[in-house]
Amino acid sequence: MEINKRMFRFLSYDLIRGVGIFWTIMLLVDIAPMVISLSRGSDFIQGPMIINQGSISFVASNFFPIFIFFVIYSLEMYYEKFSLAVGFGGTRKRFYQNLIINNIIVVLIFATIQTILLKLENLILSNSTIKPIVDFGWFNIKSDSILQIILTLSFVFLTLVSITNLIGVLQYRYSYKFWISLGIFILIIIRTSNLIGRFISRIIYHMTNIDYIIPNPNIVLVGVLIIIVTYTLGFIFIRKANIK
Amino acid sequence: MLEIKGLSKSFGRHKVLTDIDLIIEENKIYGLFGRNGVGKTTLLKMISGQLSRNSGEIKLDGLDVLENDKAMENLCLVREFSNSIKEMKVKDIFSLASIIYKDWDEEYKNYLIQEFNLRIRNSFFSNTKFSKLSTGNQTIVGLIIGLASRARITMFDEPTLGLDAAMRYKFYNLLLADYEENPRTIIISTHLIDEVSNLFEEILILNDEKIALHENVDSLREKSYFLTGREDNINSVIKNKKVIYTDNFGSTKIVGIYGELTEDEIREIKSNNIEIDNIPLQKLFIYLTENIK
Repeated sequence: MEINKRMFRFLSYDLIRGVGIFWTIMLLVDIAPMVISLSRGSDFIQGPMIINQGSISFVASNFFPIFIFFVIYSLEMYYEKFSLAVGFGGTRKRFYQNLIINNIIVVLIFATIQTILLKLENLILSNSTIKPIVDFGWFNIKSDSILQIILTLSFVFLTLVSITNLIGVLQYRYSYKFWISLGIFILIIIRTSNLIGRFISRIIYHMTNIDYIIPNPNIVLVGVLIIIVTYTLGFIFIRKANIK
Repeated sequence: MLEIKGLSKSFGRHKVLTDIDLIIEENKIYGLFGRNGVGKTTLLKMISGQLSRNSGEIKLDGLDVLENDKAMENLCLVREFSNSIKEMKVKDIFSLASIIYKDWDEEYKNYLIQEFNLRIRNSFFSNTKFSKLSTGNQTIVGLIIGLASRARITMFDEPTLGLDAAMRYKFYNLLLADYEENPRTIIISTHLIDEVSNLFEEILILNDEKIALHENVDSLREKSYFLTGREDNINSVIKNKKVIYTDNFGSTKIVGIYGELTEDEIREIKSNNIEIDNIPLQKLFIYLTENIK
């Protein structure tokens, strides 16, 4: 138990600062264009935003930076923390177990903040001339409770983080060879016209196409499978990794 | 007690270590020597669980060290930091070390910072990145972590890299002082053998993929001699001895021999006007690694 506490504290070191800096910047990026657009009226809407059939959301544009944060967070975990953790006498297994817990906490924090911002944005924009996006496919800002939206976003974020975690593992283990292999794999997918290539292309398309994210049991099952498979693969690759 | 049995490691086709058998006892200071590329760092990394092995066992108190929390939390290896760590701030590295090492001594760490005079721009540890430190100061950070970790088995791989003579002796003195008050097992891998020879209780020499020598320092010294005298006198006394070094200066011959000498043999040597001295550890290491098969 004590070992788990130490490893968890180790992994969480500086996390609050990193998350704080990220969301401070995101708030500024969200608030500034919102204020400018509100003061100038619906004809002069500016800044990063998502537009869907005339409805707008500034906060929804956070999703891409959130994904970038997850990528950097996962890469940094292995680039810095993993080699230090094992170098300082921690085991790979203990590191990985606590990393998953750390991931869950991070996605919960992000989901909570993003939910609150979406709700606040809806409140502000509803009282203006700008029509806010209400239906995000997976959740509805008006009809769904905060808890429902947090859980939905957490699930989506955790799916993303599980993938970026695997990328982090593979990057650590294989460095440039991983990226070359990935590039070749993508080229094969693009070039190939056979059945397997089309099948894989469709999966990648559905995974990356936000319009396709419709809440149905199959998608949820796919998400759960992705989480389980990617975390399992991550452990398989990292459990015997040598420290550089 | 650390037990190593049948330990082997290869990198691809290149064999580094083969069937290493070793027992590291509690609360002793070991010197680990070997030529460049012989596998000292590889051995230390395997002991600390940072590197996988091809075969064999490494057990601490009967528990295999690899991926074993109880074993690994008692191990600390201080070596050159990887490039990824070098981008971190020094205070963050110390903070992380203090979190992960169960017996970390924060007070002792602060004391060591003062003792090593680890200053960056007239202040101790502002927000300086590790990479901005000089090579010597980077080494000192590692030494402080190793000492303050209070790990039961603490290993130092080339602990004097970039250190000036004053700092090296400061480290040796601090190490000894702490060892006397808080005994632990220490393994030091170094090339500056004569400087640290007084620290060691036991010597390990790696050569040709194996532990070529594992001896107590005192008995090692008592087994190694320089004999200086006339060539014919020298030749008569070294007949059954292992000669590890030979040199001639005209009619004077100097030989280095490795092996015990009885009282009678020493008397005979002296009676032949042959000077007898112990071989300094550094030279002994060079001769042995050239001669050990």
